[in-house]
Amino acid sequence: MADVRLTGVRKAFGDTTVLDGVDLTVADGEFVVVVGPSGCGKSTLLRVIAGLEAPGAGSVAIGGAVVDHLPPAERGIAMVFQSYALYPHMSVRANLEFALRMQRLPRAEIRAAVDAAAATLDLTDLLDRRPAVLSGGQRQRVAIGRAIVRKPRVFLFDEPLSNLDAALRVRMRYEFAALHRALGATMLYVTHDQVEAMTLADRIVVLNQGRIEQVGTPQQLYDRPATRFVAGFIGTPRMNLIAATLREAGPDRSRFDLAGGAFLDGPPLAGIAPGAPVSIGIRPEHVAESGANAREGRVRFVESLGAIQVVHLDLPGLAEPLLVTTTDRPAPGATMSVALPPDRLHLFGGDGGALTIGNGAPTQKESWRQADNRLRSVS
Amino acid sequence: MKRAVAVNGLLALLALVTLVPLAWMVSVSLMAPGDAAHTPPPLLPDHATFTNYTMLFARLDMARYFANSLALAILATLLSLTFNVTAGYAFAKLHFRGRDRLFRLLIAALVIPAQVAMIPLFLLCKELGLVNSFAGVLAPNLATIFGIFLVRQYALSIPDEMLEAARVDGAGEWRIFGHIVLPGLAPILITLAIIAFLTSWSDFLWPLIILNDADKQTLPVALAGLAREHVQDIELMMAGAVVTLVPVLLLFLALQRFYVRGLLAGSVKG
Repeated sequence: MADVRLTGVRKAFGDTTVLDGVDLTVADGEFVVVVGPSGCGKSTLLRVIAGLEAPGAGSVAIGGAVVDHLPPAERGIAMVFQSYALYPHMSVRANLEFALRMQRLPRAEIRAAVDAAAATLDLTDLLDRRPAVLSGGQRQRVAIGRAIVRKPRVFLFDEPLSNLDAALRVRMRYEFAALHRALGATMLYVTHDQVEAMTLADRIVVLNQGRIEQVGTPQQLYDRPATRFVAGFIGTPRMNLIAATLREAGPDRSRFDLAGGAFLDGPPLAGIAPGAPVSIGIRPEHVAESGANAREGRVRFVESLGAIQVVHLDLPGLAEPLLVTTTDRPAPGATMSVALPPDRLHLFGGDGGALTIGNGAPTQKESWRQADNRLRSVS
Repeated sequence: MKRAVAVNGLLALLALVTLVPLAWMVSVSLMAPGDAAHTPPPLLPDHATFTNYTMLFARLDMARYFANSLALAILATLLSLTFNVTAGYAFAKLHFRGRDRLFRLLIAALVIPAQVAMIPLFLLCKELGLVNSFAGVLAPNLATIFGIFLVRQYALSIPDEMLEAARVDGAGEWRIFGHIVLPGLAPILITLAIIAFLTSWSDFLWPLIILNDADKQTLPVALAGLAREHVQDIELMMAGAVVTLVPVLLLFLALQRFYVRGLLAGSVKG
């Protein structure tokens, strides 16, 4: 049993608050990815769990025991760093052995553990080489091997793929997923790449300015982002966010004013007064060809991703072009008809939180908080 | 092309200007007593002889001064490595209260000329009972600001993540220093060792002040004495200069590859 439980963790460097009251529970054997933009505090969060930084307030528990007073080596964790942090003057074997030698394990036991890890990670032929002569992917595997040999209760990965090229990154993603299946250990993985987060995670933690925006499965975050920030951060291409003002909120539908006299119809809303500023979100892949909220726009620019095209469409009333994914490629300057289905719209209030859709049900943000609390109580 | 020829020519000329006195020193040291006093002075000895060297070691006790200098230089090097490297690493990578303020203070103290500190240093040594002892010669070499600065700048290039990885792996601070940091500092250790050895070997003023007994003197002090007492024996003085200079010259030539690498590495790596 090695769950990780963070309670009210705060950390500041000088006047800069990096972590602002983080509460998080990672269940035993779970693969949780912490994602957020640069400087959101995600690496600091990992370092606090590892014991490399002392939290200013709050507490960290691993496997049910508070570990705040323990040095990193006694927390039962292993960490893989962004720069790999291999010992350059030691062979691959010596790198893998180092932690076990620190534990003064018998020589035979060390050798067996290192050989097993090397076999798992396909490093057997490289054991006598120095890190300097290895490729980026091989170094990465040595860094992972160094973590595996210790048989930690919790793995911490700090942007482990960000120094690799794109093709290798995709391959290593599979290897991380396979590793998690094989070891079944608790893993916390930090990245700024939401694609990595979506593909690897059991659950994703979205961190922004030291606060947790939302915790949930990749699908939950994609389908029902709890905040405007999560909506814009999760999903590729990113969600369109349109600034608007609520004109009327009814039990059947709502209507929003856009700039220049344009308007959009939305789903029924409750608990919000007309005149309030809102953000209307719609994912590019959810824009329809026809139906409710049908509009005509002019194609400004088309990005081809091969299988799909991302069309940047100028629509009346929108400050920025609307992103629409299509299969065929329209010519720039052409006219294109689109529709924004009301049931596909995400609505966010002035504070960035998701708005209540329907008649008095809890807000999306609240409902996912409740879901997260239920998960916590289960774990 | 023309430019390259001009630059190389200039460098060759400068090398010649530097080397000619050294070569003449060796040449004169092999001349018979009185030969070098002719006008114009001869470039090469008529009959090369080791008389001057024999006299230095047999009658003037040069072997003792040589041994004194060697022992002091080796000890000074070891002490300098021990204290400068640990302090430089601590200033670069360990976090303690007042670290940066203390380091700024040290750097500020670099502008104080060594000669200014000599008298207070001598009085201190006197109070500590270190006058006329090798310990007194070594005391100011225990740690130097320049040495600490040199090691610190180099140690800054060691990635923090590597030290943290070692902490996660369960290594204590001394083990991290010994097993992870020191191997990485090798180039700067060699540079520092050469600087410490050369500084101690060629130091004249401090041993002159702190040592009284003739049998404790170091080579540069003995050489100065030689120049005073045997002012007309140019050949003997040159033999003394060769004995003083050649060991360090050879040491430097053997290690200069590392020396330059160590000095450049800190600046290039940033």
